[in-house]
Amino acid sequence: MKRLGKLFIALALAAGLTTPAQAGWRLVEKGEERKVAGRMYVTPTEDWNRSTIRPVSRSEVWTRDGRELNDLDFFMGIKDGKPLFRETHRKRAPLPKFDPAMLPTDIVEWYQDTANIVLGGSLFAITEVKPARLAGYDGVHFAFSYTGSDNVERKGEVRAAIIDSRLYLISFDAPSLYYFDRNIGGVRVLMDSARLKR
Amino acid sequence: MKQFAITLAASALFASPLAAQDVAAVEQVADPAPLPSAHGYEPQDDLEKGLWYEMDEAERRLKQSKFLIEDPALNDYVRGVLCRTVGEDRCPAARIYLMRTPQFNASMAPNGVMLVYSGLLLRMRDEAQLAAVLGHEFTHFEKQHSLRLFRNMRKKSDLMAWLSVAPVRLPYAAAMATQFAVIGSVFSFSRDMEREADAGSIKELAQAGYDPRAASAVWSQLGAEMDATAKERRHRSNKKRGGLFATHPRTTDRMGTLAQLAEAAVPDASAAETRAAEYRAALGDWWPQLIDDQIALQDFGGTEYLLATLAGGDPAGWTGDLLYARGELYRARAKEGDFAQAADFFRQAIATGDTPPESWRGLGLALMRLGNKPEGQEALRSYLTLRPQAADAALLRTMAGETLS
Repeated sequence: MKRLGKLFIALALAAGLTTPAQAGWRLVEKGEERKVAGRMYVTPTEDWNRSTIRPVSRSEVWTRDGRELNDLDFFMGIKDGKPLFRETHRKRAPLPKFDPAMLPTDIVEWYQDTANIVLGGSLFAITEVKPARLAGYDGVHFAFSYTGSDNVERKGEVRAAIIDSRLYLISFDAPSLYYFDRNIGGVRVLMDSARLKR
Repeated sequence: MKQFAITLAASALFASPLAAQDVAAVEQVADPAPLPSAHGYEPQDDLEKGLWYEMDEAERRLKQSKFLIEDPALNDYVRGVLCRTVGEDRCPAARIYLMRTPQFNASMAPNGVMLVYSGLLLRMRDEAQLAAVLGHEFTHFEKQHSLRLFRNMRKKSDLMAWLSVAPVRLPYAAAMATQFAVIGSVFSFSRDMEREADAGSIKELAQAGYDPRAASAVWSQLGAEMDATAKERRHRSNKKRGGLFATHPRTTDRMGTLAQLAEAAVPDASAAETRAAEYRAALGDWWPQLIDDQIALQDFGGTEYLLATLAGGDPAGWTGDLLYARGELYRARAKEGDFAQAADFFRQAIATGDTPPESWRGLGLALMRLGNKPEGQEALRSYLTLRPQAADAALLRTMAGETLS
């Protein structure tokens, strides 16, 4: 049953990168500014659960009701030449790599191409793209919808910016039915709250 | 998840190359039983009934799939091609489902479910080629090849013991294929079965008035595309390992045989039809979507070969659509020199006077990556004039230097 987020964790587990035998969850309390995966700070407006597993370095996974229902992923500082997810089939299904020279439109296409390859399907659609700021830097905000192999329609939104040649990206996705609409407002506020401390 | 586990078990049965090894020796008895294509055919024994039960369940889920292409015109067209190929009296045995998934594949289950992937539709150059594939799959169905595989397996071992058998690996993990593993699996038929299906398809093509040479063309195109993908990615060609070629007779051997069969069936093929124009018209508005699906896979070598095939090896064959697709392919790869190439293809596409407005978008973005901001912005503005409601219009406006309204 393929979903974007689930795959993200599964790939990390398969790669044997995670030390803990079982994934744990820690509470992230609303209203508290918190450091995410190293450098960026966000302030959630609702309580979230944070996975103790970090799928790739400088990443975090949050959920409220379980990852099938709402999935908030942070990728904080993807380097030049790196893909979004860890590659499991580097030769036969290589993932596109990040390049700091990318235009904002390229980031959207890069995300879409990555999703298409890992989902193996073609029902991933970008529905809206607009300019936006992340942590005070010019970037992009886009919305998408897709159906994974569990045949559930999901919607999602991403905020991303290239800062000092690294990509910072926050992505949220949830079933179109009920969960997306319930959570997206708070997620957008969280994305707006992001800032870098030096 | 129990249901899913059973599904997996059955799919492993079909897909296991082991299953195909010695089937050739089995069941060549003259068959007094009715053909499955006959009207009102029912499963003959408990085993076949069980198989149908599984397949019918899978079909029920299939009907709800978001991956189904429901467009009535396209569905009617594909059904029409099958009926023309195998005849009006036999084609009602097939229930065709068009699946939006970019891989090359088609299959037919024992209960009459025929899956046709959109990646197959993208790759066929004319109606005769589509007819060749449909005729091939229909022969597998009518000769009950998958049922024979299933029976043979059951003789050897209990169904559940095969849970651990890994299915044939697909080049990509197709979401659709995992969803409907039973009917969507890649059947590893024995070589004899493939020969039988090849011979069947040639016979059907000839009777329907199609050019039977289409069959060998399909396999040579597919093989060459796999080679092109492998060369770019520096791995062994899939032609030599799994998927559709897993237990097929050696490709070269097979194409030679197909060509001989075609020659024998229709010595003078000049009157035989390929119906290329009809095929293009039927695909119509779907084509740009299907080529986008293909480009998104980032299979540069394979897609480049595919586009050249569709252009027919003729400079004049490069239509505005194909040039646009080629520009997008180069822009997506983004290696050194690719943006200049892409800009060139977009310009050629625009010069044809018949290209999607997205060629202007591609040109603008390629020029901006090349550092040519003024011309890039101008191209983006042209695109926004043509597509003011584009999903990314707001972002493109700022990139084109227009102020937000």
